[in-house]
Amino acid sequence: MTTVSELFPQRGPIASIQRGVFSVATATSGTSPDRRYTNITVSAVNDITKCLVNVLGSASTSTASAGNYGSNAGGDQTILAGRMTSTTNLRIYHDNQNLRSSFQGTWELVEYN
Amino acid sequence: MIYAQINADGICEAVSDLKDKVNAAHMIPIADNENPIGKKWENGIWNNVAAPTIYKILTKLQAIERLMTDGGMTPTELVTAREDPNLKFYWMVWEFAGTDDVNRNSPDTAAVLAALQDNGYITQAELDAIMANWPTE
Repeated sequence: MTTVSELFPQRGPIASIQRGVFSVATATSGTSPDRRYTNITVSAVNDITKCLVNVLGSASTSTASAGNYGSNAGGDQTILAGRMTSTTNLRIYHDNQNLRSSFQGTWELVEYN
Repeated sequence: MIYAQINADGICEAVSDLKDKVNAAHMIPIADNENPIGKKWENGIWNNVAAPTIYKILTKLQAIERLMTDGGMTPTELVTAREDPNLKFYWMVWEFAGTDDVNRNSPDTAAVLAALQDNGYITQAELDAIMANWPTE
């Protein structure tokens, strides 16, 4: 089982917290694991390995009726994840091949010393 | 500091509370109580924009149904088209696609419809009707 220290290696005091909201009509297409994503510009952090990104949001799309081939049920949504790709870029993404492309939610970036 | 982040079209897609000042053309400083998400940044002010038309992603079965309604194809014509050597490549791509989604704006969709028209299964008017009446959000 994963330990807490493995999940959260950043164990120093908090250096900064940045946060925000997003609502993206059409997220950018990419390849796995970023099949759909959007980038959020943030103030520069010192070390992305000491950052913890929390995203609370989902991706949705115009969906087909539930049941047809069982792959794209109406109203279905995909949970989003987030990570730092550089000291100033937070990427919010999902890897769902059904390509839900409308993103909504909130994010929080915690940097530890 | 609070910033509104705009996309290439000037539409605000995010509002962020950042720890330091950011100098970037797509980051617009705003007041704490502003929420311009969905608005367009033009000439220094936020303008409301009309909601864009968002076309539904159809399943393959629903796309077939579109061919039978606005496309005017009969079940017999669909079966004939399915076996037509001129269209086999497109059916192959259709079958090999890793998703059940049919996107109105996909080049693959345009290619299939053009091939159906080129081979006499649908008219230009029917093709136009399929596109014009594509279900929207």
